[in-house]
Amino acid sequence: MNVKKIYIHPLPVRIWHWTNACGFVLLILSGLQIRYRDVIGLASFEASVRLHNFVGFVLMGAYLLWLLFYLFSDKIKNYHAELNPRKHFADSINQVLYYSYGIFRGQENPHHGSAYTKFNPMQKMAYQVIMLLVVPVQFLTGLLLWDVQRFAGTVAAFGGVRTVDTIHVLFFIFFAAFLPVHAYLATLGHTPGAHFKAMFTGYEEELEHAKRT
Amino acid sequence: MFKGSADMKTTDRRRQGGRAPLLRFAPALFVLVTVVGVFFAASGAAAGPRWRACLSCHDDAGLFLTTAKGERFSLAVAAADLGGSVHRSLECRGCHPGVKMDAHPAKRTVASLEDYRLAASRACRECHPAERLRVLPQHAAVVSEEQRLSCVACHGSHGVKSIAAWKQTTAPNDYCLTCHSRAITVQRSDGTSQALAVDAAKLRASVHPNHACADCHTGFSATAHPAGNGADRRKHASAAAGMCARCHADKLRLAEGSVHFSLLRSGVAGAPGCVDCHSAHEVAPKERFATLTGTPCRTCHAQIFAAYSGSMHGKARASGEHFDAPLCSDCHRAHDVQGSARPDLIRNACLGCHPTAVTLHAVWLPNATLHLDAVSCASCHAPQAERVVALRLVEAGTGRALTEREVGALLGGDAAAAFNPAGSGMSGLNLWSAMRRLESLRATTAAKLDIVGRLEVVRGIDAHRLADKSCAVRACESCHTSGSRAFDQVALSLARDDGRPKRFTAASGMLTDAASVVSIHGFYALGATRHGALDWLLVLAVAGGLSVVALHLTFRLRAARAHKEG
Repeated sequence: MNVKKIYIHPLPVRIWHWTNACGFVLLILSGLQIRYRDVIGLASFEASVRLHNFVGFVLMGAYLLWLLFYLFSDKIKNYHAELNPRKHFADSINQVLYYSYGIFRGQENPHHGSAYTKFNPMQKMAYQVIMLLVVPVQFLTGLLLWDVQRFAGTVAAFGGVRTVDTIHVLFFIFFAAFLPVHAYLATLGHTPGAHFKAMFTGYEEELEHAKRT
Repeated sequence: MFKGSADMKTTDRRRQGGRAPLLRFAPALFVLVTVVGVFFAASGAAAGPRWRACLSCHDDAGLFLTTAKGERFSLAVAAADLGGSVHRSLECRGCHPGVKMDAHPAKRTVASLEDYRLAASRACRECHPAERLRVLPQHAAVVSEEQRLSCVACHGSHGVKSIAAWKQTTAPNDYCLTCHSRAITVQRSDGTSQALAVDAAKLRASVHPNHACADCHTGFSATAHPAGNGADRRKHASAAAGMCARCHADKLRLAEGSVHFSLLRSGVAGAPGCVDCHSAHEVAPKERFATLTGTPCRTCHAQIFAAYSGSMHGKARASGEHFDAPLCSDCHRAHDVQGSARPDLIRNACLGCHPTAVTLHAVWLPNATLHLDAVSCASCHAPQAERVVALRLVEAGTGRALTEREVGALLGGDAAAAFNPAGSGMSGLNLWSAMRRLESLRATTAAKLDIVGRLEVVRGIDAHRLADKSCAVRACESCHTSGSRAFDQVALSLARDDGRPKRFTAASGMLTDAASVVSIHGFYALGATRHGALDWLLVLAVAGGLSVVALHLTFRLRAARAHKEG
């Protein structure tokens, strides 16, 4: 089988991705330390809060650059929703079947990425929700918790500091559970390191199956 | 003209042949007798037969009697006093019935001077019965059948003057002090005793040395002494405040907003008015109150003052080097006195003297302003104090906290049952339900209620034990750790009339139960008051994700092995 290289990840996206990856790991670890001081003793509360705040702002900046890049680039097509529900549903089912059965049978991945279709139907749906809802809400609630008094009005509109914190923690739980799953899913390329390599080089490698119509 | 007329009469008599020679001297004799009579009466040298015999001994200035208590008093009587007295026509035995010329009592043992005077005063009642004396308001309170106050204390003994002459010859204040310099008291309607004595020397040394008594005690004068109104201590304090307000209306306006006057209004008998701090007649200058020994708060709040004295503020003040170190009134105010139930006031008092506190805290403390709002200064700066999360019901718009009186009025005095229906401590839901009920009962105000929380010290006295800032709690972990003692106690705090908080204790775990997200949404301490349900959700989510990964990986590896083998 031949390996075809497709340029999928532009440099700004790769920089953002790894910044985001490192940042999220640090946020999760410092968040765990802040929340579970009685269980974890890796750093002081004060240092954990400072690190959490600093990384949070860095990631908010990175997110802004990511948003601007896609808003002013045709690569935003990657995030365009499939407007045909029937097709979206069928493609999603195919993808689920592949990950839950076909992959073990050595079947071909039904999704073939390109610079404008790098996400499979399930990824597209997931990342639309994550990047346009979960991440912004997490940043917003984090910003509110960073200075509750400065944003007292918004905090009150959310229902108070406990509500804001609860939302922040719920999404933190999501990210804490999602990150290892995300890392594992990244090993599902034609080799375990293929997708990792692509996120450094920008080129995804795809096996060219002999018979593909 | 008179002389000419007299001469004419003499000439006429001579012309008529003259009269008996004695008659010629009649006018001169009349003048002589009158002058001599007046002289002897005034000097007393010619003491009448009524007194002469007694005074033959009792004009001796060296005649004394010593009481069993060791009091030595003179038994001498000045004839001039008797002569000028309204009782000058009486014989001695008129007031001393046991004494006769031929039967002088043996030397007696007298228990005390007061006993002696009281015994002497009983003689007055022979002519002045108590029921007639009590008709006069000034006597009503002090004259009784039991004769607790001697008549001679005010009127004197042998030189009793007529009241009319007394008033004419005595200055107004001195006239009042004739009685009010004595240790006289009046029984109030609540059974307590009101001292009516005024120390003239201290009155003159006060800031009101030139005030006439009637300046404050309007309606009283040498000719008018209204009857007492039978007021109890509280009414008396209120009435006294009214007197002060005639000149110090601005201070009374402030005082009316104080916890002290709130107590007065609510009927607490011991509630202080103006005179309880300033005294009635010994009002000291303002500067005196700004001293450790002169601050009047220590009289009623001795324990708290002792705690303050051991604090860094008290020590600094006592050192004599820091005259700007705060006294009671610097934090609690002087006239509009407020207690700890007004947390904003105490916090602002701290920041008033420490304006850089926010900036200095912000150097190391994230969300410094929030911390200074949500944590009382004493919670960290009195590090030994036990702490409580004080929850308050506030109006959502204004932030004004509801008082115990308001809540009690709305709930019909059934606040305890509303906040803690099961009796096992208030839960988040109990508080939430009670708040909703209060909102519906306050329907006319349309003001939504909210719950805010603040970390405070449990006992007010501990808030006065402020330590040096090097001892203050600084480690974030002391609060931001689950199980921190800072959050052991939670209570709904309602301000009482006396400025202290009335607390309804919450059930343990109230801050961390799921209902608290909505019921106590205004108070949260990172890490310390986290919800247990979210902890479990984290464990389940991460474990679930890893399980899916492990399961998928297992199937992959098995598939890869099968592919390799076959």
